[in-house]
Amino acid sequence: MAAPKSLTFQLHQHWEVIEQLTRLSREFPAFELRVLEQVINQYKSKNAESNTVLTSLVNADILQPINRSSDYQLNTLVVDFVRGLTQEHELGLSAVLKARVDAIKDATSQVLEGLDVADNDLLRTGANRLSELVRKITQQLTQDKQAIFEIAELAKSADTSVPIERRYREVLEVYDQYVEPMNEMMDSGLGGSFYPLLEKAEEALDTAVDILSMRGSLYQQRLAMRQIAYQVKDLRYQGRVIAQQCSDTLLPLREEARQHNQLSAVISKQLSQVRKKGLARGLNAEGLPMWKSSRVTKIQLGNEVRELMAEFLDFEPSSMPFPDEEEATESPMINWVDEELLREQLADSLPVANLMTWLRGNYQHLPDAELLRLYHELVRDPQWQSSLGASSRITALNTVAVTYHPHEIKKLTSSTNAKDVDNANEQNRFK
Amino acid sequence: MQTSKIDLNELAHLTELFNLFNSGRYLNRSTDAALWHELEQQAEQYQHLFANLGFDLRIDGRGFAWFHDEDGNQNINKQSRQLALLLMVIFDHQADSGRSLGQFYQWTIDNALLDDVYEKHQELLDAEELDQDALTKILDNAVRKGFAAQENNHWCLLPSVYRYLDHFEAITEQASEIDVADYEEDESC
Repeated sequence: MAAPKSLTFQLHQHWEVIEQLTRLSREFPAFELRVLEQVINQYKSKNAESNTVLTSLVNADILQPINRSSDYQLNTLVVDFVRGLTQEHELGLSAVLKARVDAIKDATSQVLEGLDVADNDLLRTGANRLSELVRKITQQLTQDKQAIFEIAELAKSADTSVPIERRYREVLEVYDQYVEPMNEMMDSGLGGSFYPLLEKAEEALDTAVDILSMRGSLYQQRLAMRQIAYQVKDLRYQGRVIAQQCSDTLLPLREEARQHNQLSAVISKQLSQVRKKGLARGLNAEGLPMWKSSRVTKIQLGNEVRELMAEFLDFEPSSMPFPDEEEATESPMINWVDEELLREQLADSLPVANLMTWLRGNYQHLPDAELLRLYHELVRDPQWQSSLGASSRITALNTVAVTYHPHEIKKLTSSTNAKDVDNANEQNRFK
Repeated sequence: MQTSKIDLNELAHLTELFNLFNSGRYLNRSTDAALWHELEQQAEQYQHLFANLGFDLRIDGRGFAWFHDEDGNQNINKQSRQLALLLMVIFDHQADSGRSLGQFYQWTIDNALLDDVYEKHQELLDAEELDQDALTKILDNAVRKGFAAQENNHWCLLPSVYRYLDHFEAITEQASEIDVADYEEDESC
């Protein structure tokens, strides 16, 4: 038995050779040394020796010598793996599928029994068996579908000169031996076994989830059950889709309704390549119809740009004298007045009976807003005492007239109650 | 050097034809009868004129014409590939239904047919990330490029689709060579 790592490494190294050998293994059960060398020489990477390739394939157990002969065969594991990856499957036996579907019954009863006797081990074993079966059935169904596609594509792309009986012989065989039994099994009526069995399995698993949550079992356990239930549901759906696709694919051939000519044969062959390799690799793009790109991708410099560039070449910076300091224009943001000086002036001219008229008299050039701001600030200034007059006055400023109770400013004689000043401020009313 | 003179006055639809071809469209007899008629009448003149301008005008007797361009960019390559795939699945479906492939220009391609086609080749189309909407988009693009025409709620294929059919038929002989080329491509990856 070879080491898995070295086997997969050699698969990676010589994938092309192995892919081709796998394809050939349909026609040749065993390979003579001569055939092997031929394939290796054709598909090996350029700098490898064909003998080295052969030795490493044998050492990794990808190629196995056959007893009592000098021939080699591909490791069965490798064949299955490579076929799975390249979508080149052999059609399985419908009997195997049937046996697996029947085994679901056993596993379901195990789940139910485990629930009845509250045996968690039994329940888990049953559920795991179900999961494994579902996985195997899904895998086989997918592989068989690919195999049926392949058979149909072969028949469709067969040479037009091959008589119809021979061309479709395999199709008819597949239809009778595989698709018919499968359809019978998938029949949702009384005759079918697929749906009822899966339905029962689904029910058993759903009950298991319910009972487990009632018993307060671990979340993990319930989650596992639920996941298996999903798998079963998915399989039920997949089974129907696949059965439908298979008969859709084969029916036109079986009924000989399909138009068969050179063109349809080529198209089938190309589609088969695309299915296996993807569009980019599968479709031969050489000579594929092309058209002019509708967008013009050529860009040319316009004369305007050339002119501009020529100007850049002759560019001479023109000298620009540094500007003199300019008089700042009047703007409301500017500080209008030297407040220090103002306060000194005011202090000198104390006592002032009416601050507003004093400001108006000495600073007439100030805008109204500035004047009013100063009034408010000066009234609150702690370096002198201000008191509110009892009667209201009206004074016209530059643009507005204010009605207010005038403040009288006096030299500070005793400690002034700050509160009085505040109150006094609030009583000011401007209109 | 050819000395024949080209009389531009005779080429009445020159601007129209040039714009059509230069935008990558195919001209079809069945949809642009007037243009086709003129092109057929003055085929030599047009071919000569366009050849001198660096364009390769090809006229096919089956009723379509186009500016031939060998090396399309990657985007056009992808569009053409997808259209090829769509045509293949449609033709395969029609062959299964017993319709004559030679009369593709009489088919009515509607959404129901696209749904059937999608269902049949779902796996393959899904692998290319093409769903029903994407198929409709490819057809719309085909309409823009002159491979199909849209009528009410269905599409019709136009004679220019022969270009693809010719391509499909041409690759039968090369089938074995592709395989080898493929592997070499892989190695370089």
